[in-house]
Amino acid sequence: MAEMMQDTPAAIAALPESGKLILRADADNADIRAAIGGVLTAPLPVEPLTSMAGDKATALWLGPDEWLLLCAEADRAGLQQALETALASQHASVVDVSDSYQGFSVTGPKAADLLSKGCAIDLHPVAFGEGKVVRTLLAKADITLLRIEAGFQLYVLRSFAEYTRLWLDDAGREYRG
Amino acid sequence: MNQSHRLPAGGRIDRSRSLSFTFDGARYSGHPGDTLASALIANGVHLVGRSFKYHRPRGILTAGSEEPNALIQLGLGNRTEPNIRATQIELYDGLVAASQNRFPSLEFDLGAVNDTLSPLIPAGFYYKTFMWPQRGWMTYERAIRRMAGLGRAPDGPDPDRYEYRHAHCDVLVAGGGAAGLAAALAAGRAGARVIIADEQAEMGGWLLSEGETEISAKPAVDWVGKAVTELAGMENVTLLRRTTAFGYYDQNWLGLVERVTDHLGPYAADHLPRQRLWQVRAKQVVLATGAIERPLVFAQNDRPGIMLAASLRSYIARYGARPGKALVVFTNNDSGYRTALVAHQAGIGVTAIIDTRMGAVGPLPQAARAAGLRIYEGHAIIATSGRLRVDGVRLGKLAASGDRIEGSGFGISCDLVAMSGGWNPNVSLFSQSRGKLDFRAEDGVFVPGQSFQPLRSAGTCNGVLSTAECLAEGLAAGAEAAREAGFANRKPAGLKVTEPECPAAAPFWLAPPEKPLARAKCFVDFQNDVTAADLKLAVREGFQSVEHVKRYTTTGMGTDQGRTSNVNALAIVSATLGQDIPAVGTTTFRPPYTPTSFGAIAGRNIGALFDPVRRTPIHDWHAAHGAKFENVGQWVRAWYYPKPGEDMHAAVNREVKAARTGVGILDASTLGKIEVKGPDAAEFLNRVYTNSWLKLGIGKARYGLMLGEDGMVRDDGVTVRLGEDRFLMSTTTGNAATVMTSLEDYLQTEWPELKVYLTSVTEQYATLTINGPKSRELLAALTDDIDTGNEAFPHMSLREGNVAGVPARVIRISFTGELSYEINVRASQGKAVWEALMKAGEPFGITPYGTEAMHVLRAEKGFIIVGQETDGSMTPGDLGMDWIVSKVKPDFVGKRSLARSDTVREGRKQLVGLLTEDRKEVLEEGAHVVETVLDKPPMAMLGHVTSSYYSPNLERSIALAVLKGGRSLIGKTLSVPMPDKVIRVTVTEPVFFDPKGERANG
Repeated sequence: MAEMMQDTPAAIAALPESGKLILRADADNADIRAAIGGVLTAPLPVEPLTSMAGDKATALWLGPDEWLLLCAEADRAGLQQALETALASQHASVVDVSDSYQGFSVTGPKAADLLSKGCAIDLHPVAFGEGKVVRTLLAKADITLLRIEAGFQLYVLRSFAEYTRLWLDDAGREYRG
Repeated sequence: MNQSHRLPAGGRIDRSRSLSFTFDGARYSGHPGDTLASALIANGVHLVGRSFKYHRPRGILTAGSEEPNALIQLGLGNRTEPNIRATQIELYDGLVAASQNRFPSLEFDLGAVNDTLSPLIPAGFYYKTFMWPQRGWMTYERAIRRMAGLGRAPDGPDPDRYEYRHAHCDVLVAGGGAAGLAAALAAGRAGARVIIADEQAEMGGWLLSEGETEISAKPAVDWVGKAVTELAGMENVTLLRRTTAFGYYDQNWLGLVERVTDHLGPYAADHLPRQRLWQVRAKQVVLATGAIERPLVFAQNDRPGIMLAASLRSYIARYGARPGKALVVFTNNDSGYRTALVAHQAGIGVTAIIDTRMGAVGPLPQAARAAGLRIYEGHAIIATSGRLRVDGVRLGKLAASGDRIEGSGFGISCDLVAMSGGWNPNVSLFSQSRGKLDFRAEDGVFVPGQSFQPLRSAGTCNGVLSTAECLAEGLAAGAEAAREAGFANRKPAGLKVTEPECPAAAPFWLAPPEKPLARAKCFVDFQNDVTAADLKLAVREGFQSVEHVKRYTTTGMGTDQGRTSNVNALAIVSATLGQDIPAVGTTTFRPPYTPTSFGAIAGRNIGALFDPVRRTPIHDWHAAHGAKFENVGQWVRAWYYPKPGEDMHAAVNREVKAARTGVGILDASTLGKIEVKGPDAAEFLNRVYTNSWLKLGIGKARYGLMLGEDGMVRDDGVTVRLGEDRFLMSTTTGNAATVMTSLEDYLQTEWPELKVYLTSVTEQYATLTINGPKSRELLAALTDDIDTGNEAFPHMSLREGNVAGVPARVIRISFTGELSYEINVRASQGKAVWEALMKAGEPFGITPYGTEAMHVLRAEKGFIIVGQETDGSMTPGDLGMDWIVSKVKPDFVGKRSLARSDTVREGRKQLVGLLTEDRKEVLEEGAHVVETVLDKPPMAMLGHVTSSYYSPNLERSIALAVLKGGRSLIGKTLSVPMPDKVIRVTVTEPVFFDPKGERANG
């Protein structure tokens, strides 16, 4: 399977069930940043359009006070609990949105070309390096798009998953020969 | 016929392979590298179409996308496409082409009677003729439409695939000729990300047709090959062949269409799109769009066999075709001589060179003289002959003024005429970019002036003529563009070019015809059959603006948008007006540069990909149980669940009854849900809803009405308090996203002092509503940790616990007036919990109900639906909902507007109920209500029906309506006039069932 994937110019896969939390907090507050960083074991990304991977979770910058945290399904409840505890005395919000979004991966040498059929963002490596994250449109679906080493991950609202899957498969037809 | 007119050698065609094709049913052959036009010429076919208005025989005028005449119906069945330029169709094996606008055949066309009648159908004929009687136009139009138009559109769906492609680059180069290639090389070598697009199959532009030109002491095509190889080897360069930059929009955003598989023929490559629409955002643009040769305007200049001079050269040098045996060249500049020399060397007899000038002394005229070619200086063609192909020209000596002939004319036989009136820089894209055009009087051309976007023009589109200048400008433009985009580079070294010297010449606008101008047929616009006489007539009839002349005569319209005719038309109009060309102005160029197929513009936005279809987590269950669905925005919701033999009416009645007598279950997952968190959450709700929220207890629910700042109802829903600083708000399905963004907007811009965070959880939860007197028993059967007793779990409250073994938030609220619970579970568990409820509900006769039954149930109770009873112009008071508007709160969104004179005035439309006299008569939603019925509209209208259903619980029809001063009309009888009858209705309170609301609390 892994070998097959390598030969595929653009491989599309639905990501397995995973934990997703929306964190909202004031990033200008050093105490809040420290509390979150402690839980994530990585500094909270405050630069626009960046992400940061910690031991248990990856934080995706969505806005000046909003992050999408990705973690294993098994860690979901623990992570939410730990954040709520660490932020108990602060104004912050941690909401479980694991079922709200479906993730997909698009990997392989033609991954950016495939997505560029429906995404107006510049996905060239010089403009969209590993770890970069944007919220944008893929055709007619809102997506959160993350560059990973092998290509891209994208997250769509659950009810858009079927459309997105159809769209990705259709866009990938060219590379399946 | 087998390529009888192919030269024995030469050209960029692959003579080792033959391709078979048909034109109007006749079979021909050509070679890879041919266009349909060059293959037809190589087979001696010049007659390829009939003109638009007069149905005159027409041939191939050009060798490029500017072609006005050779428009072809290409392909068969639903793949057929009309009005394709034969000059752009790459030949493939099995190609099927047909001529257009002729009946019964191209050689004998009945429509050609229009040509004989042409003195009777001058410019503006339609406007002048089809005016009376006014209503007659409807009939005339149908007949005219049948006569007009060229090709035929396919009837069925397009079987081909079209895709989009977004791209970004530092430098986009439009055009792959000498200047474009040089620009791409310079920018690419500097390290910039470059996209170079050219509309032809091969990069190189005119260099592919110019055998005499040498670059760096080698044939120009060698340099083209090297340049293309170098560009293809650069990772930062994208070469797009067969790609037309058709639109130049704001912020250096350009539309390109790539013809990916057109050249392979149908069914060639199923996995590839036929065409690809590129949307490119470029930091810098280099326009290298070349120049288009200008035809000369002379009498009967439209016969097949009369071509542009450089195009003729292209057919000889690039395609190895022999367009004729006896050539007459008509020119006002030295490039006509170049064509004569190339033809002469290819063995084509050059009968005469007719030069409008006296004493041309350039190297080319001298070479022509040296070759012994016959030259008529200071002469012009004054007539031509030949029905389906030119067979002769008549010429005469021009007077010094150039506008009349001295003495009598004489004839020369020929089968080919090459004309050259100079070169028009192709400024279409530059003009589209909002660039200003400057007029250069010496050779009468428009060149790029001030530009308003980051772009530069290079090469012949910029007004230069020689290959040397093209290369120099291209290199400089590419290097500068890269520098502007942030890539430092040195000035590129120049290239040594050897080429025939071919300077610009003074323009020559109209050759005086032998016959009076009105009958001479001096064509300016070949595609639209506009003659010099038509333009002069338009000016005589008072049209002075070039834009008006264009619309009146149709010059410059059609598929070629006047690419060959605009400047000639403009010159003739200005001369007639006695004004300078710049004073008369030029028409604006608009996208697309060349016709672009609808398929490419639609892309994959068709069928299932046309728009997302959003389905709930329980959708598959509904589908498996025979539900009929309805669209609610992008959502698809279960509408009703017919049992075998049931129609909609029967199914909905059954569902409505069950929800009031047993237990019904509804999938309400599409409702918007927003988690509101923070110490100021209650204050925030207090501001966005009309009622009071500060004292809502934890675990309690409350209904809220949200207004716009204009005081009009925008949304409603129930919000529950999850904790001291946490609420869960619900919104209507349709407004979920709008409410979320407007609330976020308020927090960020109006009330930044409020400590509140919002998170949308619409899709995190599946919402299952059980409803009816048996719903408590059903809930109790599936939970072991929620006390479902009426006191323990009262109406308008929330309990968290397990339902069917999974964590759930259960809210006791009612949109039907019955005892009802809304069970929220994680979306991924929704279907399993639904199935558990269905199973546990079996003893209670559980009945799934859809949105239609939900509407009936709520209408029986007079509950509004935002967007149905409201339309952005209804206040709470209009809806009889003043009870929910706080009188004591200092402020809330829309409060001030509720005191406006318009919102407090008498006579506003108010929500009421309507009962028909006939209990079975169900009113139509949207029907108007009047007090006095007149014979026909207009009648004074009181308002309209907003909701109307048959209520099985009341065993009669019910309706909600908004009527002017509605509440004062209660008890009155009014009328609803319909096309076939008048329905009498009585106005009532809008609550029809359980007006005291006892059932929900039971």
